[in-house]
Amino acid sequence: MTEGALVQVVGVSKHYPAADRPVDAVDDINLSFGAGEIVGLVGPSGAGKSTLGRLMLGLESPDAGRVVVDGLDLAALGSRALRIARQRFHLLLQDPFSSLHPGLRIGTIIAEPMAIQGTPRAGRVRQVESSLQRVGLSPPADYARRFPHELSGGQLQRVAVARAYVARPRLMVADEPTSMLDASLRAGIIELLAALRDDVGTAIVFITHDLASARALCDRVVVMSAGRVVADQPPDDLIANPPNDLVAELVAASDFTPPDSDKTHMDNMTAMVHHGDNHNRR
Amino acid sequence: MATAAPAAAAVVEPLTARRRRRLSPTARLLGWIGATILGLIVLAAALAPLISAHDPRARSGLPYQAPSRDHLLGTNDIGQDLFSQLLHGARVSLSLAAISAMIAVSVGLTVAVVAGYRGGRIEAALMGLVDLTLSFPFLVLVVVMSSFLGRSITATVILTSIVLWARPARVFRSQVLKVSEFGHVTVARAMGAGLPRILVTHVVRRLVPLIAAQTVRVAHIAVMIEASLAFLGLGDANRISWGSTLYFANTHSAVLTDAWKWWIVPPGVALTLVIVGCAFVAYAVEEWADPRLARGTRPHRRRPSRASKAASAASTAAVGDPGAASLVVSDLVVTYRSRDGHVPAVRGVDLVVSSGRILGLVGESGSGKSTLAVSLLGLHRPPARVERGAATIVGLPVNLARRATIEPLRGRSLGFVPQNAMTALNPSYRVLRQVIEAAEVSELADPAGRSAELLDLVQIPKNRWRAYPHELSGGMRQRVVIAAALVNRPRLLVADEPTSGLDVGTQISILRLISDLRDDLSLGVLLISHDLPMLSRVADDLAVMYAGRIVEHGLAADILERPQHPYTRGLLHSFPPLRGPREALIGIPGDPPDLRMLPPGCAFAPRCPAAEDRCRSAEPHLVSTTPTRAVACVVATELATSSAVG
Repeated sequence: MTEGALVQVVGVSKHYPAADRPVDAVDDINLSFGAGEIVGLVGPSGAGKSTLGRLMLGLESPDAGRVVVDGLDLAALGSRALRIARQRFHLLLQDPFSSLHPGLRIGTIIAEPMAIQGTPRAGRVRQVESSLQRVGLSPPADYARRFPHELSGGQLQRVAVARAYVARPRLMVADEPTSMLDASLRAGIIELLAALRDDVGTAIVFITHDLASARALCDRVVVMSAGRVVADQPPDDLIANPPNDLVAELVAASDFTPPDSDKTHMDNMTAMVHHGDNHNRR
Repeated sequence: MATAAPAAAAVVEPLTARRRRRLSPTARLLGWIGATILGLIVLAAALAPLISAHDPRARSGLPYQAPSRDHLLGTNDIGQDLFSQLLHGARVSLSLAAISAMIAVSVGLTVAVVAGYRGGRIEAALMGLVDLTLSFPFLVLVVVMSSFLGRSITATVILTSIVLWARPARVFRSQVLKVSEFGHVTVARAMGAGLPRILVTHVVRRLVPLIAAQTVRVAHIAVMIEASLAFLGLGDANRISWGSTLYFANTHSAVLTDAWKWWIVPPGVALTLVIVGCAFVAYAVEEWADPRLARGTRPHRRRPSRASKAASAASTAAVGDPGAASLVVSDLVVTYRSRDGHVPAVRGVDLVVSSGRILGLVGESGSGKSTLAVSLLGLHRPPARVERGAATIVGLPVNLARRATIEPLRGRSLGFVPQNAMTALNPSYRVLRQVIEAAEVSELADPAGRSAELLDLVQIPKNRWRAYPHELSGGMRQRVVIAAALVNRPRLLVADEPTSGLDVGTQISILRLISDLRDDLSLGVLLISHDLPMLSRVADDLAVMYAGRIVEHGLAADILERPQHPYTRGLLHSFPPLRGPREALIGIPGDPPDLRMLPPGCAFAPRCPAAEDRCRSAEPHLVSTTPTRAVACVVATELATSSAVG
């Protein structure tokens, strides 16, 4: 176990009753990372990525094992202590239409972490505006006055990142923040997350299907399958030398190669056709 | 927080400056009318002794007098002043309605929030109590309880609250469960919000529309209960309320004389006015709580300021061999018509899909690509309207503006895999049966045999053919939808985002299936997606759509290697590569244009790194730069032709 790690996940398991959610369980996970590190969690749907993310924020409690963040065992904290610990956490979700309160103005939404943390009111407007500016929504005062439904999906996801800027979290879980957006907007969100880490020093757990996005952003990529960690390496190592078949299949599926220029990549994919199907049951 | 940024104030209004109006004009108008009605009635009730000259209980005139200056609404059978009774009755009826509604709704809300949030035994117990209360016969309960509680006004309030809290509790609780699942509640928890903030700001606030509606409903019923109690003779005989006035009018035969006009009608009208006033105010409150209601729907760039002229010189630049084409589209124009004007969604598109080839159509959301797809099938719905457009679908000329000419082709020579194909199957039928149903549309022989063949072709194992859709994985369901689209041997398949929502691995298998079908059935495929890397795996040709137009069209491999349009270049740089040097991602600055307010000239110019002044004056047309490539950009065209010369 790394000394001084920000997050330590030690032997954590979490299962759901079969009728409730048959998949997305996690099974005996060990993982740790430091402050300011960006860790990708990659794998097919139902591999347990989201559950692991929620465990790290104390939104779920493990059946076995411990999740220690900043020296605090989350499951051992009382509800008040957990609330205070969470003021240094943040969560970015896939669907910005759902993760932003439709009845509040953008300015109020972004200011919420400050309201929770008890930041003096005097500075809030300036911080809201500078964070809006930071994510490229300008003029900020105009955006702050609007309601979520007046913005596009891509703009809303930037609002969600602006809220993270204001929260200045130590740890943020970003659960597929790009998968509902147009592919052309992915790059923008990825750049913003990298900037957030550089500006604030936030450690980010970036959950995604897309290995290429994970590579662009992450220092390390953890590949999960059926609730277990099957690889944990820097992305370039992982892509160049897949440690096992599961990772090799993932790499083959994510390889963006123009048609005909490399006929073999289609053949490489054949292996994973049925594999992919089996993991996509909902 | 008044002086946030004085320096910037000249350019940018501070956050707290004059806020945008939250309510639509309709809601504001109704809100004001409702508030005025209620305000006047409450005022009249409060000032009753000052307004009416007579004591409502005193005999101030002869019985059954018609309205006069002295008795504005005449008198009743014992000579009491009816106007005075109306005003004094309002005090009882209104306070009863308001207090009962407040109690019943707050009890209901508390029960719902506690049950929804605590769960477990507490929830079971509370909801059991709700069901018990709801299952009691209403009238019997009222009669029995009123004999226990007596006839005072307090007793009536308690009675109505006991009878009425359960329905709102039930309604609120299901909504509490739903709202608790919303992302913003989870996010608030994750960032350490306390329970009061979560419950008040994030949960209860989103129930406000329901709370408003339930309050009006309960207030309404409370007034009616009081009137019914009086009617049944269970009210307080000495109490003057609208209900008791009506009761006495009825029992003392007001309807047999002319007296009903001033004895029954005024309290009836007053009652109606109160309910209408409440409903109007509730309308405004609902909209306040959910500003999305102010617009009707989410404005996905569907409303224009004015119609923009989609003047499209018929382009001669469509790439491909029309002789072997499954689909040729020329000059397709689709607009969304609304009261405020027309929004152009597809602005003069030409396309060719050759048989045995896949044309990948790529564009951002709002680029018009899905509108294009549905209008090719004649499946567009109002307010979308095909203004013009000619097509040749598998050799048959079709006028896209007339649905009737497309209908015979759909499901036969033209197959369609819709967006959200995951939900395109009926959950209550087995999948084989659904494919057979699609097969029976055509006159081809042996629907069952063909269905089996197709399910086999899309690699559904035989033992899954009789499964229900929910028993299949997402990838399998998608294959079934493709089987149904292909069962009548179409020559052209239109697939709109066929892999969205699927795993990377499953996406590959679906793409592989489509490319195999292209080869085996020499199918022409129009494959629509926002995901260029995905398209680039299988597409033979590519068309790039931006703001309702095709901006680049050509061989896929060629475009991916040497994109000419700056937008295509931007798109290609938006996707992080899996290998090679890790460069900073450039992406495309800015946001897709609002089709209601397209810029003059080239629609991409405001986001374009290569834009020049001339780009902002005239909209470029698609021009062939090589035999296999066309591009709608004056700068790119010049570059391409000069490099070809040089």
